[in-house]
Amino acid sequence: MNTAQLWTDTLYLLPEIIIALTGLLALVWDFISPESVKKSRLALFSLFGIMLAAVFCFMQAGLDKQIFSNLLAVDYFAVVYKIILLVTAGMVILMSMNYLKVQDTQRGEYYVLILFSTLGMMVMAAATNFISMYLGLELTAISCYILCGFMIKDKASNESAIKYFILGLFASAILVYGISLIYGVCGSLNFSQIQQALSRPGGNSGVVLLTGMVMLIVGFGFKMAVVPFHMWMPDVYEGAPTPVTAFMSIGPKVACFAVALRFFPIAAYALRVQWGFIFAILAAITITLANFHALRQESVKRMLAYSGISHVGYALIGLVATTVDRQIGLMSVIVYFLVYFTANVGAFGVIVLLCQKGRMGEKFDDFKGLGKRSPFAAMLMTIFMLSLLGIPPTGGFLAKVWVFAAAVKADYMWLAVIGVINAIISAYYYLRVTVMMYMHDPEEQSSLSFTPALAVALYIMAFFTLYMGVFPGSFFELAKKSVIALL
Amino acid sequence: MSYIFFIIFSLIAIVSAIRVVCTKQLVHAILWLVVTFLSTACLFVMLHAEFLAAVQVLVYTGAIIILYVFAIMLTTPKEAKTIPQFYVRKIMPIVLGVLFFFQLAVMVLTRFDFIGKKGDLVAMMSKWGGNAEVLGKFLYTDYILPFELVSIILLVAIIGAVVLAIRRSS
Repeated sequence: MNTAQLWTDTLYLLPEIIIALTGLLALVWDFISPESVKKSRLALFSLFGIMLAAVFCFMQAGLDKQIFSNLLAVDYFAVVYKIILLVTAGMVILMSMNYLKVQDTQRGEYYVLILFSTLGMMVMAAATNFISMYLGLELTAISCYILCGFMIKDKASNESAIKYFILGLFASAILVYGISLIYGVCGSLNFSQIQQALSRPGGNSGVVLLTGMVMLIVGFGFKMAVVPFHMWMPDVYEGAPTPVTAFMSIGPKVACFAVALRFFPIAAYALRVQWGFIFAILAAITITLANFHALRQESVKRMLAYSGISHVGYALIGLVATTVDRQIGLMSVIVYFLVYFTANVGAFGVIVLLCQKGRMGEKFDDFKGLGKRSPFAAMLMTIFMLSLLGIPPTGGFLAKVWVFAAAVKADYMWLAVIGVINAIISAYYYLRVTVMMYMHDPEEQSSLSFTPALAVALYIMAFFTLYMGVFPGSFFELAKKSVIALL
Repeated sequence: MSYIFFIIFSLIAIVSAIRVVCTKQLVHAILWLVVTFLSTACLFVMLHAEFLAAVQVLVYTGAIIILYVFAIMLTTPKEAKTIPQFYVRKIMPIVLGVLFFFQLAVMVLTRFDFIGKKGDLVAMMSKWGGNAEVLGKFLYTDYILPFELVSIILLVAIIGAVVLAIRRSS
């Protein structure tokens, strides 16, 4: 690789570079500015960086290149995922401005960590090589460990950080072990070269390869919180600051799925029987178990954590469907995440809104009478809950229909049936929030303070949740283009 | 000849690794870990990975072990410095661990189909003059992106230490 090549590749990396520079500048700014300067300026600065990066991301749409000696891809798929991640980061920053003020932990490093974590996820979304993938994963994870324990005076926050840290390290170790075995068999860490090695005659068998693949699935399963590896998640999500929970419930999962979609249906297509079988079983138990746990929760935050696990299970159904029809399967996963992320960020945003001084706003009881205290917040929450449940006219309906249709088309009828049954069960806990809001009297009368930042975040998310349900055409087009770029 | 040395160093590494997990005293475990690291470094030297061996000694045997010793010194009270030994809840992990070990052993022994990368490294080493040179060449050309990413990861780790450990009076 010569210097000229290096410079052109750097140009393609502009969105990532902008995020990294924003993070570094924010760090320095936070350090040199006196205590009296408001931290909200730092938040706005980070937001500006994210918007700039998103603009450059949009400009990359339609390109199809491999940069930095095939470590990263610049294609439509990466662009779509990067936009999801950047929007999530932006919304989380908007939500945090309010939350950090209420919790009295206004520190500039918070925004820096969000930015660096986003950088790691963007690298993952574009990674076509296990080296860049793993580094992106670690950057994301380490930032998230710190963000979990950001409220250092809060015991739950500390517990959450330690649990996440120790278990996350185990997952990383297993993942790296699996990668090393795959490298041993295939002779390369690059996805396309792995694909070639596996498509050689006899290249897709062998104990070593399968052990490596299983360890890879375990590692990814851990990071995505798929059921037998989900134990860490509810405690971590409950203890972490609410905007960070919103961030973690989307970012790392979406980024991991981006890698999984690049690796399993494309590079490891020769092994589809094996991973298809494993993922089908994982999907079924993930959805079912997470649903039954969610039924018993008293905290909305914890309920959303379990509901997040079950949504990963639904997305896994789409991944399983790629074993037969790759285009439909991949499209269904992409559409599913587009829908899931808007509704989920929005739901956590409402919890942030309810979080007042001395009251976390996380319990079901805190939602009592919200319909009277703040009709608008109640309406938004209802939209998000209906979308997570999958009722038209919200986007959630279409997303679920697509995933199930993909499963039926791929002859995984039993998986689709399990999915539909669970979608019905989930109505109980999603609608319970709505019942609390509209059919109970409020416990306190104080009105809620809608800060402009939070309001903007909630409106945008609610708008897209509805828009995707009513005019899904453009989003399908988006998903289709990114799948074509991938195949 | 090198085969004999390979067996000697591997045996030392394995035995001391077992001692690490079996010994009662935390500090002893760390000292056994030093032995493991050193014999692994010897194995690296035999594979002509001199740079890796040096890093193994400097970073792991030097820095990491010191870090462990300091962590024990600063955190644990005197009576907690021993590790609880065998109890019933450990049976399941032990069984699973042994099973997994046998699977890996069988895997390596029966189908030794590792390809890896052979050949070009030796040629490159003779061209550029050594291990560290080849590594440096690759880190600053083909793998410049991972190299920069790692620097950001280290920065994040430092930020984390500052955020979590230093308490501001406010």
